[in-house]
Amino acid sequence: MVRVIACVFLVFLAGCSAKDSQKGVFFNEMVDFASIQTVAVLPIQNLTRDREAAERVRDVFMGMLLASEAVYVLPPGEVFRGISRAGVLNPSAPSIDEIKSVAGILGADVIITGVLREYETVRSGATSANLISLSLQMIETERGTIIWSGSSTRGGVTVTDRMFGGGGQPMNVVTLESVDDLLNKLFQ
Amino acid sequence: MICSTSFSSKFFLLFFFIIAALCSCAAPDRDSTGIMPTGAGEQQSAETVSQGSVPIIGDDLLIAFLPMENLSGTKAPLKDMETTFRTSLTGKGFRLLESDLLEQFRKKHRMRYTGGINANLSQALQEEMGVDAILITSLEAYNELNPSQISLISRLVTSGGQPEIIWMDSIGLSGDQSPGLLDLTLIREPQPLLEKAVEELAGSFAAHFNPKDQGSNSFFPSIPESWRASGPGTVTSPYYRLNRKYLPYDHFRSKIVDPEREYSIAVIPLLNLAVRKNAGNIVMLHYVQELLKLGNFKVIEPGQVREQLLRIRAIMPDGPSLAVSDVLTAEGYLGVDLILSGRVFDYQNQSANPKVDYSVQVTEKNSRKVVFGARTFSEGREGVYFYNFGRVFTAHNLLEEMARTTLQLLNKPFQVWEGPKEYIAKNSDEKVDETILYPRVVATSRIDWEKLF
Repeated sequence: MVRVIACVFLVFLAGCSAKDSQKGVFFNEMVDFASIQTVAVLPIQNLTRDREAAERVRDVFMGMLLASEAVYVLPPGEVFRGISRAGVLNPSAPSIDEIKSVAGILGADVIITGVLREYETVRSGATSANLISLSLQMIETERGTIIWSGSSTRGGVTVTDRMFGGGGQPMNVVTLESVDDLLNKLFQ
Repeated sequence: MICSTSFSSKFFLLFFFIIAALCSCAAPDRDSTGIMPTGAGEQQSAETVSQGSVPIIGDDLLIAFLPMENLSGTKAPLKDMETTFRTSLTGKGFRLLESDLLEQFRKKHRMRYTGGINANLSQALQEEMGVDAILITSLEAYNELNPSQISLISRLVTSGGQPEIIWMDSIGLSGDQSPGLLDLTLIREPQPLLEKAVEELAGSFAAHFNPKDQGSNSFFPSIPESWRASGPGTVTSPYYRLNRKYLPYDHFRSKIVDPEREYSIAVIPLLNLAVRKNAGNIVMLHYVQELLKLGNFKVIEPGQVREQLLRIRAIMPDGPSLAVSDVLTAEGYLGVDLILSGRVFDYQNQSANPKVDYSVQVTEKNSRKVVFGARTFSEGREGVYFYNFGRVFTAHNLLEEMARTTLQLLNKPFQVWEGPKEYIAKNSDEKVDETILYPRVVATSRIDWEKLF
């Protein structure tokens, strides 16, 4: 009898468990992400002072997404060809028609766009550290709707940096951490 | 007067001498590596040379020494360098085509580009000048002072309708890389450094045609070559197999690539997003050199690749598209199986801390897919904590190791790592590819190994 009560109690407890939600992440639960095979990563919008920062971050993201072996990522030269042939005016913020057109040319299942908001060294008193802030969106190509969105901020001056000095992590390492964080959010 | 030394003084003296000796040993002089260095490399080179179509060249070959290509981004005394190199080669008994005759040929054929050779010019050189081979040299880096630096990449290409690379070597020297005790062996002037670099290159060149001459070389195998030479018996852990310092942070290799197969490959100049001029071409040359060393790749002469890119008027602001790859891999053009391209984000050659940051990808002809991709960056002072041990002084040497390690991942046999016994017991059906177990790759891997075990 005690065992039965314990089992029922456990079932109730399991039903009360909270759904795991992450801050700043959107998932369209109607989409079967396992069906996505080919991904085109469009140029990332650059809101920083560093001219090549967005391209650098895009390259890191593409490399790590490909290395995950979960999807096939189209090479940047091919993506550029698609953008050129579709006549996309602003590749980092394409319209729905442009997305459909690019995807048709490239044969991509989804398209990823993004915005690089921060990519610089920040200072706090005598301490400085590298900081990156990046957000990405995954758009399905049939209707042009966003099916996943996530953002990540890594680096910056920490309490340890303030207390003991040090210049924080190199920018490359911070970028890797940020992209890794985004991929974890995507593959959760 | 009696000179007495207390025990503590003796101790300090001994300590001082040990430190001084350590200083003189700091930063071993890892000059360069060629297709034929020593040990395992020698075997690989022999295999490379004997790969069928490469003609056997005797001692009396006539070599056309093309004017040096300047990739250093600065002004450099190219004429002096050329003269020094020519003198060194003729001193070793090689016959070089007279400079005047070569100049006449260049004027006649309007040959401006000297960083490579295409099939037509190669054929013309053979027919009109009786040249057997063409020596192409690129100046990668040059710095006169504080400290002096020089990096050279040189290759020998056969003449005729199908130019093929039969020897390639490079060297990167910095005046402060072996300062010795009290800076006695510090090289402050560019000329002695140039002579040393040229002598090493010429020595490697001579050793290629006369193996007895290898004694004059100061080459010794790098860490990856060491584990190759030592054989599988000494390898106790998968971690031991590659030099961790130069491993890419992430890489991808498709199962389409068969490491046992021989491939023909064309290396396209990498897209240069770095501040440094010609960084894309420099990385390309390093990859050509390292691919040649692997033995199972037939690498197309970069001059021919350039010719075909000009022929199809390829404009690649973001790297080669699949359409460009299709054309290049077609039989009427380069007819290769693989195309290696990429992007260079950083190339800094300061002796204090050189940095290189780039990514490469390999596209396969039949599948029209990216079959290998790697992104890597490294610094000369990375992992250096004590008396400059392991410090790399030139971007050339850094890049050489990075390219070598990256390509070993491409060429590495598919090996199944069985993992700890606990894991095997739990997952007897599943096997894990060891390529994901390298420490720096683990950091970016989707698999959380700590939780798994």
